[in-house]
Amino acid sequence: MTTTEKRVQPADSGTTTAKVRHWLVRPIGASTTAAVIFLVIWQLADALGDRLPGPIAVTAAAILEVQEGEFIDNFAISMQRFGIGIGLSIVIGTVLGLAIGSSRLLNDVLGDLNLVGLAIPAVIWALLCTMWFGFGNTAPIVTIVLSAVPFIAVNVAAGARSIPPSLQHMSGSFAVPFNRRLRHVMLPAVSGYLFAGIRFAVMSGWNGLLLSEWFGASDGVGHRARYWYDANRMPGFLAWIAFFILFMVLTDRLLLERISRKAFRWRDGDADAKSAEPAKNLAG
Amino acid sequence: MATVTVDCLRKVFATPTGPQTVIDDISFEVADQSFLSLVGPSGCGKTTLLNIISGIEAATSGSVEMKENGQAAKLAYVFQEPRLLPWRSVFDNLMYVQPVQDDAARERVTTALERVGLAHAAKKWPGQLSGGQQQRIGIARAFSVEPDVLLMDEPFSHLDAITARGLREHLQELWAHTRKTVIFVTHDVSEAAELSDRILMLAPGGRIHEDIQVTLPRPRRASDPEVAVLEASVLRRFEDLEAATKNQSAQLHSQTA
Repeated sequence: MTTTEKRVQPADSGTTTAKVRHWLVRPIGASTTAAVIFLVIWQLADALGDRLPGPIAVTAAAILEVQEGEFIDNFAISMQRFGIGIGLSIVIGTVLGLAIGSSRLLNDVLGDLNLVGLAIPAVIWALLCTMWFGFGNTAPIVTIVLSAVPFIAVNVAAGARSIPPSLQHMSGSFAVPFNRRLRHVMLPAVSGYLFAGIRFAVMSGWNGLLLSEWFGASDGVGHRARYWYDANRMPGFLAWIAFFILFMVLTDRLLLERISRKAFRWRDGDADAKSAEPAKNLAG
Repeated sequence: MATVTVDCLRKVFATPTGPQTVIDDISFEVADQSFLSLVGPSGCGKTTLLNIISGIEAATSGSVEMKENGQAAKLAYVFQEPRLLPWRSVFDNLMYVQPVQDDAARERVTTALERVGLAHAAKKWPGQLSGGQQQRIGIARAFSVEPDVLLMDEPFSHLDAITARGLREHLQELWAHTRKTVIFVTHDVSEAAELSDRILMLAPGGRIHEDIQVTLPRPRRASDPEVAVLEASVLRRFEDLEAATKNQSAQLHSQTA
């Protein structure tokens, strides 16, 4: 007895239409299509009214800012503030979150306070910090910290509550020291929650930075956006908004997603695992 | 010389219906390099007793002393589930429990993995291994710290029969090679008969019902006729115990009625 295997081919398999359709449903295709549709709508809004400069005018203004060196100078200053602020936020938020999530008493003491922090919008922190610290680096950095820490803390606290008791129990039975448990059990167990918290913190922190520089700085992205706003030159103003959005998207896609993928490669399977070298030293 | 001495141990839990005695005045000694199994029906306090011996739980009264040449003995635990860190490689899982992270520890870890036949899996994540392989890693982890006393809590109860049989044979080889003092909790009488030098039968209410010395030659297999005879004998004693317990309950019930 013989059997014949028939492979059913889609009618349009291999044609250009099929290739385009296949590309469109992939993440890169879907993202590109969404971006193109957005630009078309933006251009149409420019053509139909006179209140919104189109993408070409905004791009020209952005190129001018880059050519005049304003982009590099102001962006570098903002990035420095952002780096310090978000770094401090990650450390403070993680410690606070672990404390809230691990101890009922600390949860009672700090949990509600953290919720109050979550409820206060970044604009309030920006105004308060400008009044407290005046012009300079302190107000934007503190604004970032105050806007970002509650998001990290609330997520890490949820993660700390989900640390498997069986792993804590195992660590206890082998008398593993606390600092090693922190590094190899607690932090990896909360890392998924930490990444979620960092994503929100980056968004909130950037908002806080922009507003703080808008109200109380003589340099930086927020200050430069306000400069064009005060001059009533919308293309320049929107160029800085575009820089801001571009940075947010690139940070999320190129940095946070990659770090997240690396941190969770143990979930993915063989390919990554085979390249994973055992740590030379786990002391910590 | 690693010996374990359990003296007049009691554990009473407070429950909504009043105090419940889980371990009732238990005393025994475990000799150096011996393999002791604690056998009994569910809820007779086997795991609680092991947790008290390991120091994870506190006793209500009584004491546990573990000495190795006059010093406190070093312990290791093999759990019902492997309890591996899923985000660390197999090698790093074993390094995690080493008291000092030096070259000697790395060598011990490599040797332990070789002994359980999983040296090739050192760089893998636990999630890439089968249940049986993960449990072998759990056993390797315990042996890698070179304990004086090894505590094992139903380590094969979650595995299928064929995998469990293979692991029991493997454990016998490891034990023959290292001769650690082992306290092994199981509800599987056949497993106890195959592995032990001595079987402590626990009765409901946390008492020692019978202390059985096993003198069968090693290595043993569950299918050996002598092991089967011993298993049948222990099971008969459990049936007698069950009947006695039922009689006692019936008498108590009629007295209160």
